[in-house]
Amino acid sequence: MPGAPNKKQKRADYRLARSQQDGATEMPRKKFYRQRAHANPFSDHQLEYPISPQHMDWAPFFPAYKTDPEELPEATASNNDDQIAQRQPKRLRQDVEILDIGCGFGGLLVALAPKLPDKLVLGMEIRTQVTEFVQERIRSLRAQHQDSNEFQNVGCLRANTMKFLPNFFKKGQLSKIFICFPDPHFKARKHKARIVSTTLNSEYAFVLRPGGIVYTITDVEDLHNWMVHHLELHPSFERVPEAEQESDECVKIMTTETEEGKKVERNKGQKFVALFRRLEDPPW
Amino acid sequence: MAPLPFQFLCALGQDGILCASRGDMLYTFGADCSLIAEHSLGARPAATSTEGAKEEEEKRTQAPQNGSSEATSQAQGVEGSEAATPPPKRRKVGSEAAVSSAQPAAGIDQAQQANGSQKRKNAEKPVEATEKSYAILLKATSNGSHVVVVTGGNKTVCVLEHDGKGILLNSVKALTADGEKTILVADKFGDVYALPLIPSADDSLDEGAAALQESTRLARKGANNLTVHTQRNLKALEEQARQRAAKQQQKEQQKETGPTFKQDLLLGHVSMLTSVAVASADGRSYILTGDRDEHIRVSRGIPQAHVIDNFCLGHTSFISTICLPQPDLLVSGGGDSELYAWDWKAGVLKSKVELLQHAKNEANVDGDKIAVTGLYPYNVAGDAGLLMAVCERVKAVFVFKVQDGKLTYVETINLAGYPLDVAFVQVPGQQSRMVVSLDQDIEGPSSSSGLYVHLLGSEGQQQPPVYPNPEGGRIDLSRPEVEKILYTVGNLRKTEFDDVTAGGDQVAAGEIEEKLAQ
Repeated sequence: MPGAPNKKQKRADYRLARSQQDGATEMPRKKFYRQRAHANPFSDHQLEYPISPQHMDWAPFFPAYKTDPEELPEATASNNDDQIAQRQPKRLRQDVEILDIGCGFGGLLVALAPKLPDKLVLGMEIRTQVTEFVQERIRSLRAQHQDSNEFQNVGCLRANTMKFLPNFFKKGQLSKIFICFPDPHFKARKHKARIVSTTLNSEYAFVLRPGGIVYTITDVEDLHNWMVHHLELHPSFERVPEAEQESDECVKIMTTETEEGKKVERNKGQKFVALFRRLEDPPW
Repeated sequence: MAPLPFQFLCALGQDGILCASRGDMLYTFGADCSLIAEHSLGARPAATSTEGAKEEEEKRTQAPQNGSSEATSQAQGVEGSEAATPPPKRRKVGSEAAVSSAQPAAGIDQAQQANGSQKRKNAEKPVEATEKSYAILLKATSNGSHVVVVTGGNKTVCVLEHDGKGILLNSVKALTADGEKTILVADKFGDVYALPLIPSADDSLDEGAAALQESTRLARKGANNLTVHTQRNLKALEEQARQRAAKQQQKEQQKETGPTFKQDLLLGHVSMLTSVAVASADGRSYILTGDRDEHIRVSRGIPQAHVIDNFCLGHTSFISTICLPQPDLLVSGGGDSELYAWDWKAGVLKSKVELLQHAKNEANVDGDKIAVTGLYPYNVAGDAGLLMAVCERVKAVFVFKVQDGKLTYVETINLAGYPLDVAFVQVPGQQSRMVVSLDQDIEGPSSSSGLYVHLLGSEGQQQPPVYPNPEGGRIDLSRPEVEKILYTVGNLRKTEFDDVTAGGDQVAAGEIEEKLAQ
């Protein structure tokens, strides 16, 4: 593989240089973070995920929202496993409420954050390189906007949401989930790797509060039909009517601000948008 | 070469009848431990062709006559039954999905709830060592009227009827109104399906509907020239369109190959699903599923299985088995060194009980990893129940007492071989037996049947009865092959490899992922 070690070296140098300048306001450059566009959601990877939402330490992702240490009883370093449920990390003042699944290079996150200043916005991405890029991007944005305190409400972490969504969020925690330009997985035998499926929709319904909305957008008509079919078929979701969809500000951002959205724009492709509202669970 | 030991056990009804599987054979033993009958699951090649599906269709329609004529001719005798036994009615579950588990489920309809008791359900990795139709799971309905066997090589769920005396029939009779009639099947890809125990005429897929499904599937197209832009991709797209047209032509000539009975997708995990249990609370049923990625999911029962009520999160390694020794108590085990006890309704961990330490102290286990393969609750009427735990390659059964939602360690029963499965056989007028199937050939071939009997609640010195070792249907395999068939749970543990993707070489990472995908 000629070239590869060289590239690796360049990337390492670039990252080292970035990490050494604290509070870098310069945006990271994509070319040092490119990664193959597909990841296998079924493989184990080397993922880090909390045992349960109670165990998740959000402080590194949203440092401005950390609760003061005095407010809480000290997080005891008790190793007694029976008390694991009580041994909780520091809390944030508020919970993450908006999730971008497969946030890619973070275009949507960065556009959403200023529009929803009182909500915490999180991006999840399975590719390490890309996650790192978004984290760097947020870091520089925060440094650039130190005065206005913008972009403190946006974060990004590496995760496989298809497997570990319930490890991060408790029941009904989220109000919006964005699924933007997901991997279309054209081959029939890869359809089970699609991010929207009958069985996965149950998990989205679990973390979404009633009234919450799933936003989907894609440039692939087939995938659009697939997502509409599966979400409409799921008893926990109903399609949001076209008129309401048009007036949603997030739809505009999603259509124009995502990296993929811009690319499709350049290539004069189509974009298919569909919104779904989480319904109340029927009595049981 | 080593013979395959008895692997899976289940008790049939309340009359002391035990059913055991060995390779592709089923054996039934009476209350006096005598062999009643053997039943071949038929080592047919995997039915993946169109022909296989057709054959299956024929079998369905013929089954009623078949059952009454052939099966009744099967004598009560021990010998000669092999030849007379037709291959069981088999139903193929999905053309791609590897069925790894099946379990008759409890009370789904109102009428069933009266006598429906909860049932446990396990899933295991399908046997890759052999193409033969070895049983990889064996379960009985709570009244003992039906046995459900899953065979690995050909991804099949077989339903056998039990006549109450130890003879297994292939007959399909009209099912009476009560009783359990739904099988929950989970496959390796994490999906749980509901199948009818006995497919009736209205359960079978409407042919028109099936045809419609097919046509809509074909009408869908993948990328179009608005989604791909480069010259090469456009060329590939053209090629795909040509191929699709050709395929469609071909399809028109061929008949549908999927299963022809009704199968409802209830729920699914993206992770590998390892265990399923049916529970009930306040008169409502729930489906509990455990997976390799440490989740236990609490879903509502049919018909609201799409609603997830809860997750029980706390395991740090894979989950391989879950069970409900009491209606409100869930116990789970797997790659962790403890058993976990949950208030599953609330999704709260109640307590953990140490297992590894007992395995080290009382069963001479080296190392600090164990993999729980089975949890077997035994309920004494009105009293505190017992829970037996079995670990892979640990020569012992660990006994716990279950009282007031708490688990307490009682004792360790040491064994001569590795335990494979446990069943409790109740014999009228006698002490209950715990039967353990053992893999005894660790050091060398052994002549005994490998069915160890332990009398429960015995203070006296009663001699436990001995089960015979039937000669027929013995399969000799090399020891590694046997191990591959018997020990699959430990492989669920995630290996700790270096994360190449973190290093920045995305080409290598892609390659590794591809490999993992295979």
